[in-house]
Amino acid sequence: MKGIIIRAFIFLLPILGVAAAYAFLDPFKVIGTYSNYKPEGLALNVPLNQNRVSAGTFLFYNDSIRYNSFIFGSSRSMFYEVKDWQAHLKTDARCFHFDASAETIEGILHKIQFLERQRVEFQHVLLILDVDIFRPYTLLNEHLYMEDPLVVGYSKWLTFQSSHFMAFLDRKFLRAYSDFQYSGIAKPYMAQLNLLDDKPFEYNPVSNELRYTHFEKLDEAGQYYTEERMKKFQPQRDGKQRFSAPVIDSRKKEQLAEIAQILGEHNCDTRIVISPLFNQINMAKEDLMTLGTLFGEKNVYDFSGVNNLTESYTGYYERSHYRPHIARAVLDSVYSVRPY
Amino acid sequence: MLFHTSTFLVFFLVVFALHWWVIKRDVKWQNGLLLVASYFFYGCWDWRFVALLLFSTLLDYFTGLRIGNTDNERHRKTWLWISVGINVGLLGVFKYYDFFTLSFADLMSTFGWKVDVVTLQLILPVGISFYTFHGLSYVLDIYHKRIQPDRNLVDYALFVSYFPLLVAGPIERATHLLPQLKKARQFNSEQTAEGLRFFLWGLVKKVLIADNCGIIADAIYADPTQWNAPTLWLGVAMFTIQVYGDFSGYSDMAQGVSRIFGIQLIRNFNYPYFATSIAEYWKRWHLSLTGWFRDYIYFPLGGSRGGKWQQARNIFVIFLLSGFWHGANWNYVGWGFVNACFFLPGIIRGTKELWYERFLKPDVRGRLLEIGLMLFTFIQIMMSLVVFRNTSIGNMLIYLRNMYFGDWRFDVPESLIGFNKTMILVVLFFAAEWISRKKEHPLEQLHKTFSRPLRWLIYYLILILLAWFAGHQQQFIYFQF
Repeated sequence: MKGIIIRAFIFLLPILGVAAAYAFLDPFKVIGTYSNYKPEGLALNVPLNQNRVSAGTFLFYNDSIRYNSFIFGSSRSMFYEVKDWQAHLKTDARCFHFDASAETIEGILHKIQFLERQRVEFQHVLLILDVDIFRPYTLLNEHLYMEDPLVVGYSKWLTFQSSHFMAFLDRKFLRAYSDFQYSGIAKPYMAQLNLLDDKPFEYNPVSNELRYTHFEKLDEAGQYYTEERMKKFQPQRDGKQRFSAPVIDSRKKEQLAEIAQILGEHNCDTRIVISPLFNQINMAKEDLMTLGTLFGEKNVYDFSGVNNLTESYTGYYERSHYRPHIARAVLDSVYSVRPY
Repeated sequence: MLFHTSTFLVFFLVVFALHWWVIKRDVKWQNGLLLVASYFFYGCWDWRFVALLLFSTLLDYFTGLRIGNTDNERHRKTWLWISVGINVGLLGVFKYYDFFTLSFADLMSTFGWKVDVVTLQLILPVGISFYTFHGLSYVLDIYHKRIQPDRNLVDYALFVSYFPLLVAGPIERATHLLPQLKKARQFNSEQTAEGLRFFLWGLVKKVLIADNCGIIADAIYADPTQWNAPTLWLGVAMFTIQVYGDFSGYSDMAQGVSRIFGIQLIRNFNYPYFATSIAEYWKRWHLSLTGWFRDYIYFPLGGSRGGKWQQARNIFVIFLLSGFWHGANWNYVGWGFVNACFFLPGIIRGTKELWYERFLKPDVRGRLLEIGLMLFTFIQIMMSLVVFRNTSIGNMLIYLRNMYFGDWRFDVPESLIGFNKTMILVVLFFAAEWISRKKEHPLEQLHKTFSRPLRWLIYYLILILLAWFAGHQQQFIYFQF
């Protein structure tokens, strides 16, 4: 047996070499701990698992900051700026944006359970929801969207790490990444294939807040809504009120109830925002009633459907994501009667 | 826990180390370890169904003993029916109850009677069809006095739940597997290397072929109305290859893993798409299931002994049952029916030679004819899989109509991601299978043909292909059965 094990070891040496290089470079930042997952100013950035960015950042800063207020949601919640939110909260609110790409309600529940295990005192919570958060995502097995073992427990560690390693071995990614590491030059193909990200941003690691100020500046100069970008708004809406089919089934209802229970035990000020999506489809009344029953009707703010926030395409970067000024208007509306 | 995941790799390494390093040659401990590992493996799918697996095992173990311990025919028959009844009953409750009650309600509604039925909406326990058939074959073999009941519960439980074959077969026979479990297994490096090669080839079938073909098939099946006729043919062809890569890939991986533990499983596939007739295809496809139906249903019904009508009836019975075995839906039954129909010309013809058979010689004309027959058989399989894949009759008819009467201009739609890559992989794959069709798999006995550096180069090449050209990971199709 010794013979075959030695042979297997020799055979695996090149693969172990690649694995060692991967661990050393840690391109997806899933092996080491980082104070800043998204340093500004690089020509290109490796797309990261936002679950890891949020959880890693939280764990890095929580001991010194002791966060007590959280925004949860998908990438659509990204444009709720902490400074805008903080203005509506108690003065001792220490805010953190705990978002994830392609977030699900189960993912939000796991994050809240994780925070409770970290003995967080929930003071304010803003849940940015929409129908997609209640739908099953097929993406969740992909490395960028997987739940983080830091949050969901180490039973998922191996799957999480191996998915990232396999993503590293992807021939297109490996080529672009090696090319960029070697040459230091950002080449068009790298961003075109979404292998590396070339969108300039500002990132505040303390609040885990990402801002695409570059897009805002382009808009100010009247250069954002180009013909190319306008294609991302197709198909257009017809301005008629429509309702989505109910998406909160019994399983999702249980998850929501668990969220409500945990936050309720902390006497947390919880506000639920139903996002003003570009498609102008209203959330089903049954779903709103379920949310109202669990969290209190006065805490559920529905901005879906045809309304003044969803009216103009200029409130959106593309069909999926709305811009900071829309998020600001939502916050102003949600906290119009300032309770503090 | 899928075979091609990192979780399985860790599980396998732990079991391997314990089996060969800690326990070494004590068969009792070897079997005990594999049994615990098998239950753990099954529990990883869903812990709730471990109890069901245990119940099914104990049921057949004790009824087997009862049948084997008496010569009283009435008692033997009673215990046999208890076992068969409960096994089929469990299968019926978990797999077929909702289907039959809803079908009954639908039937009544066509006559204007509204029937309110209660459905159970149970989750189908993974592998239930496979381990139920293991148990049934064991009890039937004891009843027919082909084997003696096994008094060692651990050995018997391992025969039912042995993890490489637990969730998707092959469906083992007690006569084949149990004797292997009785002998102490010794580590054999050649056998381990062979197991690894078998596993690697299974991985190629699943990850490179099935998963890539699956992407194209899924895209085309998602909306058959938007594609032209050649694309719809391509969709069925891709699905046909996907099913083979997926299922036989799993079987190969199971074989590979099992061989590393010194246990040889029965062969489940023998290059089915190189069959020159549908009858030959069924002698090459899912051999463990076709063998099961042949031995426990077809032969007891009389097989081909009672004339053409009886043979046709028996063929229809086993194919309709086989359809039901695959799933509780009419499309599976339809698939079985279509396959049975393909057998009819052969049954009617009997032993009479066909006009072309005299040209089937090892010359150029004979080879071309052989290839033509293979293509014809492949098209027949494709047609049956149109029925298999479409879960509603409406969708199936739309698909078939557009396949034959749709737009016949051929252009590969740009939206089919990875079309060229998949085509190249498929051609290389079938070329490799064709060259090695006399062997169990193309990597078999590679050490006898190539020097180590060349062999390792081939393995590295395969690993690079697996890493770079893998399709999106998809669930094994046969897990749902």
